Amino acid sequence: MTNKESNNVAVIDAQRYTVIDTIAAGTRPNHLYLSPDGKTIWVKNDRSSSVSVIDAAGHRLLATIPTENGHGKLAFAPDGKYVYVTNNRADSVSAIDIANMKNIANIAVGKSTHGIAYSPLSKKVYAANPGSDDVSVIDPATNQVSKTIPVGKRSGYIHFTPDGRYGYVANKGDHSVSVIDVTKDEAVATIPVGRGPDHLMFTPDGQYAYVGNTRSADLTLIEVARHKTIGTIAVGSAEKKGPTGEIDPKAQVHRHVHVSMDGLVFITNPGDGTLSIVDHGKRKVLATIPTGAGSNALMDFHSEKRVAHHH
Amino acid sequence: MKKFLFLLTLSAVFLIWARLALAQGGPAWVLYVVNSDADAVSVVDVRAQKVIALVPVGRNPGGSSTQR
Repeated sequence: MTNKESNNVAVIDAQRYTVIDTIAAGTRPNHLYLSPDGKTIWVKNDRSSSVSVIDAAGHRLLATIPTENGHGKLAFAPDGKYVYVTNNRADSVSAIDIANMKNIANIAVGKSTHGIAYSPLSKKVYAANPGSDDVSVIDPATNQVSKTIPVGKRSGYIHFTPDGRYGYVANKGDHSVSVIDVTKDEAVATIPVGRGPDHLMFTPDGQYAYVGNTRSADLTLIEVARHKTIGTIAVGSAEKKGPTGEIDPKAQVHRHVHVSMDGLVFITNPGDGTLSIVDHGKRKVLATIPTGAGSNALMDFHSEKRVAHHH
Repeated sequence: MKKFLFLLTLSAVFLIWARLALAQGGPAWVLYVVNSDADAVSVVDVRAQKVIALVPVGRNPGGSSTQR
């Protein structure tokens, strides 16, 4: 996991629950990803215009690859040969050749680009741009933008259904989710959700999506077949309070949702320092567990089923 | 020499046993929650619905992933 202000990556032993190693990264390392082959860890350094590549088994830095400037996320595509990196201050996406660990293109996209995802159906990459309220479609064959799709306001996060047909875009600014159909590369629906939707995730069967709302203390449940909200589940708050208990409406707020293979949904509540566990079948909160101040990212480690997920 | 090899084998068997015992003793399903403002990661036993460990990390922890 990254330590943004220590400029390193910590390795935690999953059986002893201790930090066993730290690896120096760039300046303000933030989002971190395991490569599809499980051999390398990729970290975007938000303030040093680069990506650090770490040997997952040996815990050593393999390469520092230049990107362009800003905070960003990563999407591996296609078939693990390339990785695409958003650079929110440069309004660009860097395409990196994984085998050669080389930046092969910086592609101009919309403003303040942030979320990025790959559709296995269209075999294209989609970058969500909250500064221009649109999604840039990148064709990996040419590394050029093939289309720009208008969506809702402050479209910061995108995630695809497991079959890659629909991309759900969380629009923090107008409290909605835009649905992109990749067979047309068009927004085909807009779904009203709670306030300030941020992170979202689909159930493993692709039938439902859970959306974590940052400006309302709830989770929105969407039925994918109809692209309709079918429920709202009250959880903890994402909004952090100041010393006198006030909430800054302009503060950056994030939270993470994770849907497990076992029908449980987890959502962090950074405003309360808690984690809510929701039963998907019963649509109700099973437990709210105090974890720590600013609870945010999640890792799911299930030794029986040998699955691991990260956010 | 035989005694040395015997002790070496015994030590290796013990280390493997200890590792397996430790692995089997922990909960099967845990969730790691990154607490950005507490410079720590909470380890949650999902079945028991409780925090079982708090791991101090560096300053302002962010993204995370798991690797086997």
